Amino acid sequence: MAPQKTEDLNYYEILNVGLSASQQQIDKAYRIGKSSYSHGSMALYGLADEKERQATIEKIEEAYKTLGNIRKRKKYDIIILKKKTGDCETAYFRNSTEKLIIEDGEIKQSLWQQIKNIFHPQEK
Amino acid sequence: MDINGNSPLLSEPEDINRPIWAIGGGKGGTGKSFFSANLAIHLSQLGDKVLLIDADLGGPNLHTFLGIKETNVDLGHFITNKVKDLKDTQIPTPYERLNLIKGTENVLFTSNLNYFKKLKLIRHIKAFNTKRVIVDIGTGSSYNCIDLFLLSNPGILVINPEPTSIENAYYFLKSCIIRLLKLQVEQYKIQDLMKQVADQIQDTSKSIYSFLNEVISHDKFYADLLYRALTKFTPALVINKVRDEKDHLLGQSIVNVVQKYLVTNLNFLGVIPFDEKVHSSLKNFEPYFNNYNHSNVSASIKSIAKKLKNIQNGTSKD
Repeated sequence: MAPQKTEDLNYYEILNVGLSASQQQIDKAYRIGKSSYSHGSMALYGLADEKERQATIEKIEEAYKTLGNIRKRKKYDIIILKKKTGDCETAYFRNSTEKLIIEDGEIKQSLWQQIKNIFHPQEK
Repeated sequence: MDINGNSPLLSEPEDINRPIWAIGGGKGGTGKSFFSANLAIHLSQLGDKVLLIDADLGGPNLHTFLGIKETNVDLGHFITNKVKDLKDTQIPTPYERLNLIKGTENVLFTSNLNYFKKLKLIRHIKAFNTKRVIVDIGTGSSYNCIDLFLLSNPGILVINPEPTSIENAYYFLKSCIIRLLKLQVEQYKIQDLMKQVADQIQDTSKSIYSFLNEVISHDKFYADLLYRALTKFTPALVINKVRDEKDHLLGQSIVNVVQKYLVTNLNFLGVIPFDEKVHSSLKNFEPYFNNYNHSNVSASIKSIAKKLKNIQNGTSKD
């Protein structure tokens, strides 16, 4: 996996936690992130300039505002998972109880049903 | 290069099982020798056979920490070919199961090892079948220090919670990474990439990942190769002389930042608190660990030793 720039990282990546991180883990990651990129942080000494530091701390704050709130996190997860799986609508259903578009879609007939209809068109 | 075109400085698959721990960090006075000596004493007291090697070619001190004053043989005898086998330079210490290879006093003639002598030293260190081999590589980021550090599994950085120490540790890590990449590039004879790596060495660019991204744009296959080599480099970190609570968080912050900017996974082993008794023990030529076995410093060293053993066991093959 190629290393990424700050602007390309999602909120989970910027806090260095997994998608299934608990609230406690997110709180801890936020404290560490804030400490790492705070003004005058020793950990950053000689590695990043002020512009990079500022951009990263802003993203960390943004990430925590979203992931630290259950409803916002849920909405964000949908966006993330959608991006991971392209346009596949069914991919994220396990993580959300929101209504899916396919619920209103046509019920497709199985192949066997189609074959039956050819031989017995009056049966449904 | 050997007969098969492999660099002798690159790790071999069996290296992962070798119990060699190199203690480095770039800056002097961070407590590397103190940590090396007391870690070795603790492990020997747990029942492990331990060999402590003072490879600080510019300023050996381990013998002082162990209360040893004069010896008949030291590392210099091996380097200057007076002794053929490095095993013959081992000396017993006041601690059961702990042997020492004392650093050389012939600093002028041995601190600038040439390439072949360094290879010979590395070969002999790898040949030890002692349970634990701890190498104090001393100060600086010379090729000799870096190659000894890269030999180990894992290499341990000992730093202080001060900007100067952290800055030097980052220089040291960057040097290790660039050395690793250079060895890989030489191994695979990638001429264009060799030039890029050489530019990176001269450049004061802060970020290894921007370099890797550039390589990806040129050749994804070799970029992947280099990236994989980097992921195998997993040094450990100890923060010594810690005085307040904020310094505990510093370790995690450094791990975070190093992962992002140097594309390296650091293992944070823990902190060792500042203790005035360390200084007074040294002045009195007394071994700290034995006299203050229940102090916070000793407790930290015991905890770090346990984590190191777990790392070793995690990577050992059955």
